[in-house]
Amino acid sequence: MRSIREKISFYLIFVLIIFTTIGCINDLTPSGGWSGFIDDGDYLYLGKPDGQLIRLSKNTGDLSLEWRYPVSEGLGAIYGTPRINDDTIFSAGYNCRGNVCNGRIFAVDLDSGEPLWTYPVDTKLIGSPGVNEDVLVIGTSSIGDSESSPGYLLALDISSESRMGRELWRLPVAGPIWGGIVVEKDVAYFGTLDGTLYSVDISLEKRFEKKVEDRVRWTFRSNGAIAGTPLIAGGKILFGTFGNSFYSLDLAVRQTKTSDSTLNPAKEWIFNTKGWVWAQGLISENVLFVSTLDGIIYALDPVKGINIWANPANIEGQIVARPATFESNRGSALAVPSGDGGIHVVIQDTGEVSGMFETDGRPVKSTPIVLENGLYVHTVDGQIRRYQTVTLDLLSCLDTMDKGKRCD
Amino acid sequence: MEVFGILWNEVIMRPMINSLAFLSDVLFDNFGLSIIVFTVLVRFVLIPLTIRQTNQMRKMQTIQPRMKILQEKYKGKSREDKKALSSETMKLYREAGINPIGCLGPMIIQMPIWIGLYRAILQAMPSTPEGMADLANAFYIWNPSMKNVPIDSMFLGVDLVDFVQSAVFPINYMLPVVVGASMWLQQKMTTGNQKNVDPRQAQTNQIMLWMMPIMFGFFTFQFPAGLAVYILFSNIVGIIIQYYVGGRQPVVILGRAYLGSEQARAEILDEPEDVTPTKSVDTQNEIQSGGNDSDEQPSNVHREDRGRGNRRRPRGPRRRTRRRRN
Repeated sequence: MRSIREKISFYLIFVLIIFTTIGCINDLTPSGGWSGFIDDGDYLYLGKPDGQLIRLSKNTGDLSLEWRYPVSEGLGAIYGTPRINDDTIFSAGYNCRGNVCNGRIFAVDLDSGEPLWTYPVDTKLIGSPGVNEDVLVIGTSSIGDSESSPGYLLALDISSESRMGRELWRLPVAGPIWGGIVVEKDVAYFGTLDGTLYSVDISLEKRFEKKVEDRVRWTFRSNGAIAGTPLIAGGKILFGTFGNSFYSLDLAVRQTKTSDSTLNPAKEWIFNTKGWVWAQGLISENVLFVSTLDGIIYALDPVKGINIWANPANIEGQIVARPATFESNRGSALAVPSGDGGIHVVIQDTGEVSGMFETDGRPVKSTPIVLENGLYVHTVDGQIRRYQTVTLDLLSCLDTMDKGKRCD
Repeated sequence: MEVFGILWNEVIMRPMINSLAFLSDVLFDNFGLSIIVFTVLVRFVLIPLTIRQTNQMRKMQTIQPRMKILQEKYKGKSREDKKALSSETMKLYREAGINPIGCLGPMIIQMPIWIGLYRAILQAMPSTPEGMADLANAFYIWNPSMKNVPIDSMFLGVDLVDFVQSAVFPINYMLPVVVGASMWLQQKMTTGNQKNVDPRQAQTNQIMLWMMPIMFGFFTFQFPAGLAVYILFSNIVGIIIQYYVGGRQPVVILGRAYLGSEQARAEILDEPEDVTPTKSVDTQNEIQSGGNDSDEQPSNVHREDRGRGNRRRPRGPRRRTRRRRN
């Protein structure tokens, strides 16, 4: 470097590179959600990658272009699967600009697509909401300013028209909630990223009005972050963690221990996996299937937590979403969505990977849905693809990001 | 392009992410300490490069009077003049053992490390589901710290992934000031005093001395706090290294700058150019005879030139003799 101009140019370029790189990477903006399908008879509902709720006619296979929320541009990202209660569909999405995030919980009329109410909140809304007749609950990250708790369970009133969408309470929890909320009667179950599993009473009883923390029935501290949605089956609650583990807890046992993290060996177990567990567990034909982020699927006895298959199944790519079950030409099979693209077919009896529904390399991070007319898949870039379950052939494809244009 | 991406990921990003996470695990789940320790380790590994850079800059200073002579001699604008100047300059560099881009080399090598490190800091604490899924791929399967995700991003009340300007008062102002000040001090120690430097070079050095710290101090507002911590401790380590390599005592520099008295200025002017012990070798003769490839450039050459102005030295027969310097 001999001249002043060269030196100054070099330093300016150097600073520009750093500044540009910083600008590119320090961004909380989600790059697109991965919502799953919800079925309501004639239609399938889901969130597009840009945060718009849409519906697809099962009869015609076309998008209902006039039915969408929001009407103009999307919310940013919808990761969770919507929920339906009576004639209303509930969902949530969010977007971030820099380090400021804006989320919106909303309810839309199932028939007309008209918004019934919206509830804005300054936070990330990632997991699916849980609903019963009176209350919608959803997990959040920290809300608003730095004084906030790292996460909240937010409850909104959906019991009557006059109080629709009004906040009832918010329960501070120990970590952000990224997974979905499971509601059984008046109890919500969910996990947080700090590894705590919660059981919370969400009823409208007045005794909780003074202190919201009294709603917590019990907690369980696991060995790693809980990013997925728990599964409740047969009196057990099953969930996976980033501590490379999958747990089965007995609900009756937990009810007697408000915050105990030891397992009752007679009724509860922990299974060690090789990778993080994010996908929800799946029980089919009395077998529990556990999927990990390094593409491994285990088949376990749901009572004892021991391996059923001689070797676990192994596919390419991360498994973020729960598989779906269907009848293949070789018997009962799992349709396993892969983060590297494709839906892998795994035979339930043996764990053999027998084929794949091709998605041309498009990642799939939501659970496929199996209907009479085929297996539906929602890819991360917004395609809805329908396949023949026996031959694995592509039957139709439409691009939700291009007004439902055909892509087959 | 894909190959470059794979190389970048496997050689730079994954080792850094895993190291940061592992250190955080070992250092009481404290990611701030992890960044500091990692920065210190990286700077110490790069010490040979830093020493080389410092020596190159010092050598450049010592040959400035001879550069000036050459520029005066060939100051015409004709093509032949420029060609001759370029040729003589390269010859002078060769004789003095200077690599023209020597001062750049260490910085170019450090740049991917710096860029990789602050990308690794942010990737290790993802804020989106996609980022979390990517982090799972980044971990080595044998790394026990992968079970401790998500990593706590708080350090001394500051969120390491948040912008510095969002931090609590007075940290949101103190951190950029301290980053800028430490960078200034490091630059000052590196460039040394400008007494025998070409005026244009001195002017450039002055611009760099003030421009870079002010710019970085300003940009620090927009940086994630984790990056600001990294830059600050990188500068601190740089100052310590420079102290031992260049002998520029930071306390002395700060004190004298603060005093600003005539006496302090006089002391600075009389301060020896190179405080390292000099060799009793006739370096001038060695240059005439074909150069010294060693990185150690004794300062007695420079001392001789100080008294002789622009007088060209006659080129006598090449001989190696030892002359005593008093």
